[in-house]
Amino acid sequence: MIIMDEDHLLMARVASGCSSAFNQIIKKYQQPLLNFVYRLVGDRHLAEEVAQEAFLRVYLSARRYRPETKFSTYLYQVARNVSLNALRHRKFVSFFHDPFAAVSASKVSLRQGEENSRQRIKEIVSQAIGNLPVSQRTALVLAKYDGLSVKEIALIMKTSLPAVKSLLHRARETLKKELAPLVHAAAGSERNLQPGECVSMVEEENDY
Amino acid sequence: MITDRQLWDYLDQVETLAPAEDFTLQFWQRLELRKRKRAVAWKLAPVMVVFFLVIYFHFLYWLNPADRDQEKKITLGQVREELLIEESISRLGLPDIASQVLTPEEILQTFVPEDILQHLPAVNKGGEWL
Repeated sequence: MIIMDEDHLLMARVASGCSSAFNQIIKKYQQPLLNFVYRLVGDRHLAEEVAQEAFLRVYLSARRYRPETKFSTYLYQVARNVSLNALRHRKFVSFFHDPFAAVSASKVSLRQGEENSRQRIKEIVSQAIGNLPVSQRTALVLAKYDGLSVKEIALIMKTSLPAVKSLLHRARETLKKELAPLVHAAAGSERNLQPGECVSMVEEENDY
Repeated sequence: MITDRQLWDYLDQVETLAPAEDFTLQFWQRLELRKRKRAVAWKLAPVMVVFFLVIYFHFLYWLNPADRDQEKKITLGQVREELLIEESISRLGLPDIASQVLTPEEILQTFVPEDILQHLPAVNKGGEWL
């Protein structure tokens, strides 16, 4: 049974030639879509490009759109496909520059009192997410940041429910291993070190 | 190893992007650009189609099996003619130089006796060489 919600009605208006209806769709989804794409591709500029391209594809195929699933599912499917294409293209074009270049959290140093330590943690976590395989990353981002159910994720990724559960489990396990040094560092900084002293949980101090 | 709760706390710290203020405007500009590109592509399409058709038929002509068969027929005909002449000359024991100077018809008329000429199929069929 097809339930026509607000998004479906907007798409129907777009399909009938009312372009301004698409403004509402963009306003509603630009932020979640941009962040979804950003967490997949790991680069702000590329994420904006991909998000724009995803909206463009949805707009240009509005007449062919059939409200068989939720509009957001369809939009995320398109965005995921465009992201994967962009990642393939980037991999092909650049062998040496990768924002997710393999930097393990275990090799990162944190200095107590450092103003941007919180920023560094963000980067490390982003890095760890970026090091996950694309399928695990997609499942994790959709579940954690977009709050989608396993069923919706399976629809977006065009896979089965057990496969999505498996992807989420593996992603969590990998991230736990990757981020464990951060916890040890935080614990060490609380227990042993004086203010201003270097907290180094690190094997290689000058990696950055 | 860290707990699920700790992991979730860390994941919450990941940066959240705010879209550019002119995100919607950029979208419409991009759409306009895409439409222009498509319009140019449609204008160029007939030229490209003609170009590829010319290339296609060019190769099709040269690779056509019927043309190749025609070539083979001509070649076979020529070979057959050559063989017949050589056979006639060798059977008569004529020197090779004769075939270089005289035409086949002249060789036949000059050197081949009348009774042998009767057995040559080409001569029997109307008296013309092949």
